[in-house]
Formats: sequence, C-alpha cells, structure tokens
Amino acid sequence: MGQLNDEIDRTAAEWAAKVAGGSLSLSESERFEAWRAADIRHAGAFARAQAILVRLERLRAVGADALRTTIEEYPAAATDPEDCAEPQPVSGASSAAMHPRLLMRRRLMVSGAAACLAVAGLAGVFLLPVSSQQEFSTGLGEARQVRLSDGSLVTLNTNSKIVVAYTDSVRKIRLIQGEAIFKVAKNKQRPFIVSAHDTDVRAVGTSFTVQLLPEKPVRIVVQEGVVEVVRRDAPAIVPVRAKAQTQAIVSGSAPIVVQSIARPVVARQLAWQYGRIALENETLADAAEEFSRYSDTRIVVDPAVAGRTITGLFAADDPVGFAKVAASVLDLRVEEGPKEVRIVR
Amino acid sequence: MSLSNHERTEWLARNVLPHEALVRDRLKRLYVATLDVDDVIQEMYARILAAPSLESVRYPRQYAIQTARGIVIDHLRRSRVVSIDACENLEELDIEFPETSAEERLGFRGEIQEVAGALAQLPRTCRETLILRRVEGLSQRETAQRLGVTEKVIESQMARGVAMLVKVFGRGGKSRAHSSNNQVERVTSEDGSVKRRD
Repeated sequence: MGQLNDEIDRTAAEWAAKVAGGSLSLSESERFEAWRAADIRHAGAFARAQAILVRLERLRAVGADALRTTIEEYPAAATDPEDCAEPQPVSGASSAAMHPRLLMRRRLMVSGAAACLAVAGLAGVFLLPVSSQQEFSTGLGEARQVRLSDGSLVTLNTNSKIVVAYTDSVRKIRLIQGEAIFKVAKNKQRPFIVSAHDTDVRAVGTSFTVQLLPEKPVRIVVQEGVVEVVRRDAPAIVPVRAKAQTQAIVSGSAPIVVQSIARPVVARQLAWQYGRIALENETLADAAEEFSRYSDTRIVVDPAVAGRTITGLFAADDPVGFAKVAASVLDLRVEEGPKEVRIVR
Repeated sequence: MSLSNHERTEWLARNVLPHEALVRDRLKRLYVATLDVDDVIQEMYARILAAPSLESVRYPRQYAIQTARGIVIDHLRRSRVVSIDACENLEELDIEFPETSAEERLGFRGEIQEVAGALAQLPRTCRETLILRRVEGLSQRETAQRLGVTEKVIESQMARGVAMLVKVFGRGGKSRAHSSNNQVERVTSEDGSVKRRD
C-alpha cells in the first residue's frame, strides 16, 4: 500500500510541475482533472504538492541568494548528492550541525524574539459585500487582507487606511495613508484606480503597491503587469506607464520618475506581508524609522552609531528584539525604557 | 467560497504542511491495523482544501488532527471491525496542546532553516530549478535558459524536487516545536564575522 501512495505522490508532483509550468494542453488538463477526481487521495496529494511549491514561494522575501547561502551551510549540500536516492529527514540535529566555517556572505539574520502579529492578522481574509463606500484600516503593527466584491485582493500594511468606492463603470480606491498591495482582478470595462493624494494609479489587471507615508513622495511599485500613473492636480506633469519590476516616484512639482527595481528588492520591500522587515545594508537610523511604522515602541539610535549598517530579516512588531540583535552584532548596548529602546555605544 | 484556490493552497502550506509529521506520528500511535496512514494524510489534505470556511479556523494544527480523526472514524465504520482499542485510542487524538506559543508563531527563522535543510538534500540541478522558479520567480523558459537545459528538463526537475520534498517534509520532518530548541541563532555583522547567541 505504501508503494501505491508513493506512486500517487510522484504523479501528483508531476502534475504540480506541469500546472506550474502553465503549459497544460486541453487534453492534458482533461486527463489531469480526471486523475484528480478519481480518488480523494489524488486530490490530497496534489494539494500537498502545490502547498510545497507555495512554501518555497514564501521565501521570496528572504531572497534566493540568502537562501542559497543558508543551504550551503548544510553538509549535505556541500557533497552535492547528484544521485541522492532517499533524502534524509529534516531535524533539529541537522540544523545544529550546520557548517560554522562557511560564513554567510549575503547575511541572513533573523530576530528570534517575539511572535509575529502581522502574520496572525493576515490569516483572516474578509469577504465584503457589494456596497458604495467602505473603509478599511489597520493599526500599528497590524496587517490585513480584504477581498473586494470584484475579486481583487488588497493587503493593508501597518497603520494604513483605504476607502473603497466602486461604481458600475469604475473601481475607485483612495489610499488615505500607509501602504497597500493591490492584486487587481482583470476587467477591461471597469478600470481600477488607486488615488494617493493627487496621484492616480490606473490598472486593468495587475499587482502593485502604493505607499503614502508622511513627508515622503508617493511611491508605486509594480509587481506584475502595467499601471498608468497620472497627476490629477498638475496636468503639466506627464503621465507615465510603469511596468513590472519598476517603481514610480511622485513628488512635488517634479516629473514622475520611473526606475527599474530588481526582483529580490521588490520581494524584500514586500516582506511585511509576512510580518517581516527585511533590511539590506540599511543604517540603524533608517531601520529605526522603518520599525516606527509598526510599533509605538520607539527605537532611539545614538547619533554616533546611527550610520552603522545592518542586514537581516526581522519581526516587524518587535523593535526591542531587533535592537538587541543589532546591538549584539555591532557590539553596541541596548537600554530599555518605557515605550522606548535605545541603541548606544 | 471566500478563499480562492491559491489562497487555500497557501493556507495548507502555512498551516498544515508544518504539522504533517506530527499528525502522522499521532496516527501511527493509534495502532489501527487496517489503517494506512499515508491514505489518511493524503485524504486529509483533500478535505482541508475543500473545507467551506477555512479562513475562520483558528487552530490549524488541531483542525488538521480533527480532520484526520474524521477520516479514521469513517474508515473504521466502513471496515466494520471497530475494535474497542481503536475507539479508545481515538481519544488520544483529541489531546489539546497549546498552539499559540511564540515559538510556533514566529516560525519564520525555523521555516527558512527547514526549507534550506530540505533543499540541501536535493541534487543541485533539482534544487536550483526549484529556487529559480519559486523563490526568484523566473518563468519555466527563463529557468531553462539560465540552466542551459530544455523546458522539459525543468518540468521534470520540478516534479522530482517536489516528490522529494514531500518525503522530507512529511515523512521525516519533525514538527517545529520539537526541532528548534537546539538551534543556534546566527547573525553576522558588517565585517561578515559570525556571532552566535544561545
């Protein structure tokens, strides 16, 4: 019987790879559906195979390089078992036996402290009924996903607020403050427009992030597809089209700037989806500012060390944990006060 | 039907996959002779995928165990050889355990380690295929170009990798709660030196 289950798992993996490749022909997709429906174990094994692919995808925020570096530390990887037949189970023992000699080049550092509120917050997805105007917001350190009536999915970062105003002809959303990712359901007849102050971001079916933070330019990062960025208040400023892996910066009376942005950087900037802050060579001052978006416990950095840099992946809602790790890495000290943690020499 | 299929799969990845080894372990301890644990696990994934209100599940691990329990009960009913032992043992499946420990919820460090540890056991091409496709997000064609092989090879490497990871995560993998107590936190500083904190 075990043999049979292995067979099912292998077939499920083959289908999962085919489906992920996106090249399923009509007859193949009929065969696949027939196979999946034939036995509940088939459906389950396929779901698990897909879940494994998704699990890998979840590490996008970490970045492939950092993952590779971590992998290199396992003895198994060093020997390169090209003919490895039976993989060994993952266990605590194997991670404790990591190769200390192989240092992490592109460092991966993880705060080990507190639980991650934002992830817990994301676990709930809300379905909302059709209606004229609706408001959604998050508090400090919260994140939230909202499924809109047209099927689009909005993920709100910390301390953010949107107002949804859908009509039959247009899907309008105002970003009042903060940051949100929009995964837009395709509908050519009904454009999807996100407004941040006087900037309109228009999309048909795509995925992008809009950021509206105090005293910062409006920033749009496009993950998929194309968006059009328009300044409603200043017709003299030429509208731009921003495509995937680019960001548009909108500030004051300057022309809108579009810059390309590497995929790992996009992933890093979206680490908050998983309740994380990903830093790569950021100064302590910048890191402190980033953390202040998520918690009312302030990180105060001694100006003498504010320029020191740090890299790593941290729980967004745990500034104290971050401060301790940063201090230990940089040979600094931490002083804890009420609603405040100081990083000092 | 509030969650899309992709969101459901994401839910499985986040909430069920990490607990599969534990559920498996508990099922084995039931000692129901006619029960095939692999069957139950596969069916468990299918049932959870199809569950009507997944988004309201608050304790996923317990939920996975309950789902497995339901499958075992159905099996016992069908097989009509309900031994008293089996019924008594079933209650063991119900033993609650705290699910909101910080360790389990923070998870991400453990998750990176677990995935890295699993990938380390795969042949290099297989591993690179999975990383390029899933972590870097390259298309099948881009991955093929990068590795200098055909798209067909990429597809078969993906299949092979997934099948191996099913084994690593499911069969042998310990649940995170058991495995993380002897991990050493490793951090690096500007100059690249590694420090350890226990």
